[in-house]
Amino acid sequence: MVLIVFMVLNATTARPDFTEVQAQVQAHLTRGERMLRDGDYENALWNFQQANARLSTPIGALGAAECYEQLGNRAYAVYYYRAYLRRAPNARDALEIAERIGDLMFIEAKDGRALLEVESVVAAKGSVDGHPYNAFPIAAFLPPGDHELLVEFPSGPQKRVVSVKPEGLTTLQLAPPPGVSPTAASIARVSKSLQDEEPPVWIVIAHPGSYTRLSADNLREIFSGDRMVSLNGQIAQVVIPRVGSRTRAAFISTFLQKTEASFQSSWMKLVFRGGGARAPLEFQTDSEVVAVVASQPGAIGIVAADTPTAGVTRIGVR
Amino acid sequence: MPRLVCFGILFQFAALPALGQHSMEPRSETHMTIHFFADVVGQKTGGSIEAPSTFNLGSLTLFVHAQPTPQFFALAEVAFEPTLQDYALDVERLEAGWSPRSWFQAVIGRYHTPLGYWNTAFHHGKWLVTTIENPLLFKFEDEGGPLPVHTIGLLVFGQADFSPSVRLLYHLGIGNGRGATPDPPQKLMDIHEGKSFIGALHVGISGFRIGGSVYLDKTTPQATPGVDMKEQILVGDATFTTPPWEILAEGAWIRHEYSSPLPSGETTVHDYGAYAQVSYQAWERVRPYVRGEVQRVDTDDLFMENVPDQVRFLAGIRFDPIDALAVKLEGGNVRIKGENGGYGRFQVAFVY
Repeated sequence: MVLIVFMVLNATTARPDFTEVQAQVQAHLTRGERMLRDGDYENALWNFQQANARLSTPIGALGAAECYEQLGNRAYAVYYYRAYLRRAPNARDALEIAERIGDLMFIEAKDGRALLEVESVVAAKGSVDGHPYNAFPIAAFLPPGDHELLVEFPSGPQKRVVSVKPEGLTTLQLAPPPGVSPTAASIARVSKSLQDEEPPVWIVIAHPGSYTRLSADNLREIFSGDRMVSLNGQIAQVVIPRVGSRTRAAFISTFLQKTEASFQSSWMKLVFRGGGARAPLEFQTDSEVVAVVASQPGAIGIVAADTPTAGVTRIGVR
Repeated sequence: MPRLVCFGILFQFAALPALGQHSMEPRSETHMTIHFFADVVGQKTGGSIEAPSTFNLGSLTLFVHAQPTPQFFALAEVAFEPTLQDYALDVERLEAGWSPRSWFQAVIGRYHTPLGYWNTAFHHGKWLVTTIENPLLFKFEDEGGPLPVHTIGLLVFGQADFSPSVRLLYHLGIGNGRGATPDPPQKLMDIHEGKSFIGALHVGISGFRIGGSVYLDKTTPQATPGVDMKEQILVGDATFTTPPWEILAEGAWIRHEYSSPLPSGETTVHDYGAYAQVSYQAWERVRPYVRGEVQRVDTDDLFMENVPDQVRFLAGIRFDPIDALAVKLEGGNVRIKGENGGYGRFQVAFVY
């Protein structure tokens, strides 16, 4: 009984703190959104970062990402767009955000740079190749290869070499140094972060001459197999990576919001209905998907964002 | 012996792609997909139509779809239908298709006549259908349905998209049309020089579709030897099929004009049929449904003497424990030829 009374009292006394935090976060988010609309990106970013420091919300991550993009910092823009997808994996604009990530990474990839992201459990400063960062996370586009990472923990500096992969991105989670005890909350946060699947980044490609932009609803209609869809007079031919592909799995589950089996059964119903609907073509590699989309009128496909897309049109999603 | 040959051919046809095919539908190298559909029904009727409780084996249906090139496809739907003594083999659909553009496509062979929505949206595999049975209006000819749901001939059709969500669909077809009786469709020869004509026009706006179909034909019914009969059918349909909703409403008007007076003295008779069905996917794998339907056949219409007057109301629930298996529970009331009774039944329908 005493324990129950203690728990109830504890709960009632803890609640105002959380409510207060929520109120602060909401105030920062509201101000940040207003400033973002007004084009005051620096101050909007400060507000979103204040909100992010208190509570992990999708709006906070998306706001920070948009501010960083407007301010020309592609690395942090990608970092926070990815954070947004992690925090809201079923968001309706998930594909659009994934497209933006792909676009930003593609711009840097053309100049031979790949993304490095470093997160730390405890507050610290750091530098990469001598370039200082006042706080974690660190996000930077760097040439592939080895880079020197210096982290200044309260217990002393740590130096290590990080190898940046030539394609995609390199992520690093720094473990707490000896003598530094992160709080239980930060351990839980990092543990969850480590367990989270990185959302695969995909892009939509189509045979040249068809649409260049589609709404998310139209794209769902084309890929879901609920009815036959034409693209400028051509019967849409869906081309996708095979079962087992991470890109395919993420696209079907997060964008179409179907299971693999329901995706297949929808297409089976449509194809056996007759009427010219074409069953999806599946290929082992993304380059094969690109090649088929390039060669077949009406073809539209899904590939990983870092796939070279010569000969096809990249479709923007409204 | 001919049946054994057919089984042998089908088995060979089926066995080839199965070697390289693992997933259910999307294709890669083989460009061919094959599935079997089957179902079992258990039912009990009461009232003045009371009958012993019974299990009922549904037809075993083989679907084959092949697409050797992007513009050409072939589709076969072969049903092994249980009879009292045996199984009967029925080629329900056999189509060779050409689809160079979405707005111009053509099939030749035996196709489902594009009358309304149901007949081209669902076919013989019961797993494909939300309910246990087709509406009365779209029962197949060999089940006593009033419409010519199968046609052997040529069909041109297409879909013109005016925007990503607005589309116009058309169908134009000719075929052998009705024979001396509503069943079977004329597979091998037409008893008349003139051909049946089917035309349909529909407008689709996202998940909503509305339109109509017209069917014109002429035959000499077995019940009125030497007397020709002109047939005109109009079907109107409006559907909304955006998940989680499936709302279907269709109605048909059938006009038969005989060249000599019938025993009643009339030369023209009219038959009607309609249904409305609503289903809603309440949970991921659970879909309740209701349907009301009516079928009115003029007693003077000798060509339709085996098609009964009926009114039926039913409600049921479809549960898909796995994607390849549907369990349906249904209850309802039916009035047929003045007799009235309730029924309850279940169906286990599956695909593999």
